[in-house]
Amino acid sequence: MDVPPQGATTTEQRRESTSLCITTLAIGLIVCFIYAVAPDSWTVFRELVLYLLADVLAVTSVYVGVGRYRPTSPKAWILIGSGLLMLTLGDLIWGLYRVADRSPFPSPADAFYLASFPLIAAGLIIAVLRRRPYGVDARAGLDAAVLTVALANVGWIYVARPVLDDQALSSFEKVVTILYPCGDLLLFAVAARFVMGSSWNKRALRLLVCGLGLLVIGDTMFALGLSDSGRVAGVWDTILLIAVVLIGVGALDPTMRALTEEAGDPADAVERRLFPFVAVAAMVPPVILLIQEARGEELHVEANLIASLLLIGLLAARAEYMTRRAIQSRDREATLSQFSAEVLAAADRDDLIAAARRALATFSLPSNTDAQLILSSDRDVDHVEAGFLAPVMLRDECFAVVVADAKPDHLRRWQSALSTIARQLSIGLEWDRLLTTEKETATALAQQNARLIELDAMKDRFVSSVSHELRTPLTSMMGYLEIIGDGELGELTTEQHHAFDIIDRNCTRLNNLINDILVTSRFDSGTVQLHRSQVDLADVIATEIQSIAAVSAAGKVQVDFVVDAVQPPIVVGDEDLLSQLVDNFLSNAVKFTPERGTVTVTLGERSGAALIDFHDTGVGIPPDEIDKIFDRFYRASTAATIGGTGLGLSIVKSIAEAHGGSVDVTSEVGVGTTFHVSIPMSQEPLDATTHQRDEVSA
Amino acid sequence: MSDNATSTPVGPDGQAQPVVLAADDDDDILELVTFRLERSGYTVLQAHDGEEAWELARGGAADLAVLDVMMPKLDGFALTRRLRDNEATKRMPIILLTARAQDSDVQQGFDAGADDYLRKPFSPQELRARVQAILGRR
Repeated sequence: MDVPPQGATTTEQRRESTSLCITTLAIGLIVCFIYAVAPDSWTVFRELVLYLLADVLAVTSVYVGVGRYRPTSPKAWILIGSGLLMLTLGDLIWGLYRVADRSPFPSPADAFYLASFPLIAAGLIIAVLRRRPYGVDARAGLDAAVLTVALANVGWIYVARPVLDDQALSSFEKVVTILYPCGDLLLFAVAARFVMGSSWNKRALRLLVCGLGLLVIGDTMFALGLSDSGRVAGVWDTILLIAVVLIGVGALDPTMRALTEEAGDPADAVERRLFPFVAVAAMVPPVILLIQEARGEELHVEANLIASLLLIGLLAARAEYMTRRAIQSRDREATLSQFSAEVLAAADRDDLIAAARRALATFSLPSNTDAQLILSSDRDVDHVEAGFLAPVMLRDECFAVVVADAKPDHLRRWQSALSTIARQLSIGLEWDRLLTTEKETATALAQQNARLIELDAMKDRFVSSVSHELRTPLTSMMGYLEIIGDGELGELTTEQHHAFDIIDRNCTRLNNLINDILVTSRFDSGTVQLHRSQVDLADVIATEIQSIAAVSAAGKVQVDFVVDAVQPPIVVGDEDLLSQLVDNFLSNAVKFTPERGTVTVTLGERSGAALIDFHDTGVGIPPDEIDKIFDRFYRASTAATIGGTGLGLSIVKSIAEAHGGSVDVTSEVGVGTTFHVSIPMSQEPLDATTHQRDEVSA
Repeated sequence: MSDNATSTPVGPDGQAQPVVLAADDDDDILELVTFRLERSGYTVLQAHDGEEAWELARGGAADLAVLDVMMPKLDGFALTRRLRDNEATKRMPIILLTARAQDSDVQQGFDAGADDYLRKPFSPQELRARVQAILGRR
C-alpha cells in the first residue's frame, strides 16, 4: 500500500514534489487575485488570458500529477482532470462570446460546463469505492443523503422555482438553467459521500475537498445571480476559478495517490467531526419557513414539508443503523470479555476449545455460515479458504484456524473480535501447555524427591543397624580383653602382651569408629536430640584435659589451658555433645603434635559467643586441603601416618552447628594448627520445652 | 559353666551367694557376663531369650537381673515391664545391656522399670561394680 510513488522515492524528491505543488498553487492563486482586481474594461486580458491561464494550469497539474505519481488507479484523477478540461473549454467559449460582446447564455459553453459535473462526480465515485473496497458504508451514505436533501431543498426554493416561474426565459433557457443546480446537486451528493465516508487528512485530498466545496458554492451562487438579475457576478467567477485551481493543484502533491487507496482508519472519527453539519442540514426546511415568514415572503410549505419528511426518514434510518451497530458492538464486547474469563478458568485444552466454540457461536454474522473453529487435527487447515481466517498458534505451529464467511463489509466489522478470540485462544493454549508441563515436572520431581528421602532414610537405618550389630561381637572381644588384661586368665608372656596390646588398641579404635559413624548418621538423619542445660565450658575443657592426660603424657605433649575472659563463658547446650567436641579437638591436637610439643586451649568470649581455640604445634595442614578437612572421611596428607577415621572433624562441625555455632581453622605446615570454635551464648532461653528434648531437625 | 541349682547356692566360704539372672541371645556375651559375675562370687542363672528369662525369674529365684534389650521372643523392655508387674519380682533390681545407645532407648528402659543400664561394649569390671553397688545397698 505504501509503495513510494515513482519519481518521488526519496525524501529529497518528496520535498521537491511538495514545493512544486505549493509553487503552482501560489501562481494559480496570484492569477485568480489579478483576475479579481483587474478592471472590467480589460475584457480580453481577464476573460481569455487570465481565466484560461488558471484553467490550463489546473488541468495540466492533474495530468502532470498522474504522470508523476502514477496512482494505483489513475482513472479517478483522469476523470476529475477531464471535468476540469470541460470547464476550461466552456470558459474558452464563454470568453470568446464575451470578447465578441455577445451573450454567452445559452451557448455551446453550457454543454461543456454541464459535462464537467458527471465527469468529476464519476471520478469521486471511483475514489469512494477504492477508498473503502470492502463495501457500502450505510452511515456515510445516509449522512450524505441528509446533506443532499437539505441542499436540494434550498436549491428548489431559491433557484429552480424562480427559474421555472421566470416568464422572461424561454423553455430551452429554463432547461439549461435548471441543469446547473442539478449538476451541482449531483456533484455535492458524491462529494458529501466522499467526505463523510473516510478521513481525508492529506494535503491533496484537502485541496480537492476545498475546491469541490467552492465549486458547488460558486456554481450555486452563480445560478442564483443569474436568476436574480441576469447579470454575471464577478466575485463568484473568481471563486469558481479558485475552486478549479485548488482541485487541479491537489493532484501535484505526492499525497494525491491516497485518493484511490484504501483509507486505513475507520470513518468513526470523521463521523464525529462532521455530524454537526448533518444536524444543521436537518434543520434547513423549518429555518427556510421561518425566514420566509419573517420576510413576509410566500411560504414554500409543500417543498419544505417533503424535505422535512425525507430528512426525518433518513435520520431515523441513520439512528436505527447506528443503534444496531452499537448493539452488535456491545454483544461482541460481552462475548469477548466472557471468553477472556473462560480462558482464565479453563481446566484443560478441551475446555479452551469448547469456550472458543461457544464464543464464536454467539457471533451471528449476517451470512449463512457462522464463524467456526477448525482444528488442524481435524482437517488440513493449510487449504481452508474463507473470507476471514485467523490462525491459532501453539508453539510456532498452527493449532487451529478461526474462519468466517460474510460480505467483506461485515467481516471488516467482525474481524478484530474474531482475531482477538484466535489470539486469546492461542495464549490460553500456550498457558495450558506450560501449566501441564510444570505440573508434570513438579510431580516427577516430588516423586524423585520422595524416593531420595526414602533412600536416605534407608541408608541411615542401615548404617545405624549395622553399627549396632558390630557392637555385639565387639562387646565379647573387649570384655575378654579386659579379663585377660586383668591377668585373671594367667600372666602373659612379653610377646603375648605385645600382641594383646595391639588387639586391645585396635578394638578400641574399631569401637571409636563405630561410635563416630553412629553419631554422624544420627546428625544426618536429624535424630540428634540436644539435652540442653547450662554448660560451663571451662569445666568441660578441664575435665577432658584430665581424661586425656594419660595419652598426652605418653606422647610427651604439654597441654595448657587459658581462660581469656572475666567470667568463664556459660552456654546453653548438650553437655555430652560439647564434651565430645572438646574431646575430638583435644585428641586430634595431641595426636598430631610431636614430642615436646604444646597444645594450648584458650577459652574466651566475644560478641555473645563463647570462643574456644585449640592450638597445637603439630604437623599442620597444607593450604590446598584446608577447605576439605571438615569433609567426612577426609584426611589431610600430613595425617596419613597417624591413625584416625576422618570423621572426628565432621562430627565437631555438626555439633557446633547444632548449637548454632561454627568451626574454623588456620594452619601452617610444620608450625601448627589452630581450630577456632564459636558457640553462641545467647541461644533461646532455657525454658521447660527446650529443657526436655528438642530435636535438631536435619 | 554354672550349675543352675534351684536350691539356695552356697559359696566356697559357706555364705549364701546372691543369684543373678543373666539374659542375652549372644552366647559369648552371656558367657562373659557369667564368667565375670561367678568369679566375683555370684551365682548366675543363664537365659538365652526373654521367655526363658521370664520362666527362670518369675518365681523370685534371682536377686538381680542383667538383661539384654534386643532378645528374641521377648525383648528386654517388655520383660522388665512383665517382671515389674509380677509380685515375686516386683522389687528385683534390673540392669539393662543395650547396643542401642540412643538417649530415647535409655529413657525407654528406665520408663519400663530398669534400675540401671550399660552400653555395649561394656567393661566387665564396671558391670561387676554396678551389680555389687546395687546388691550391696540392700
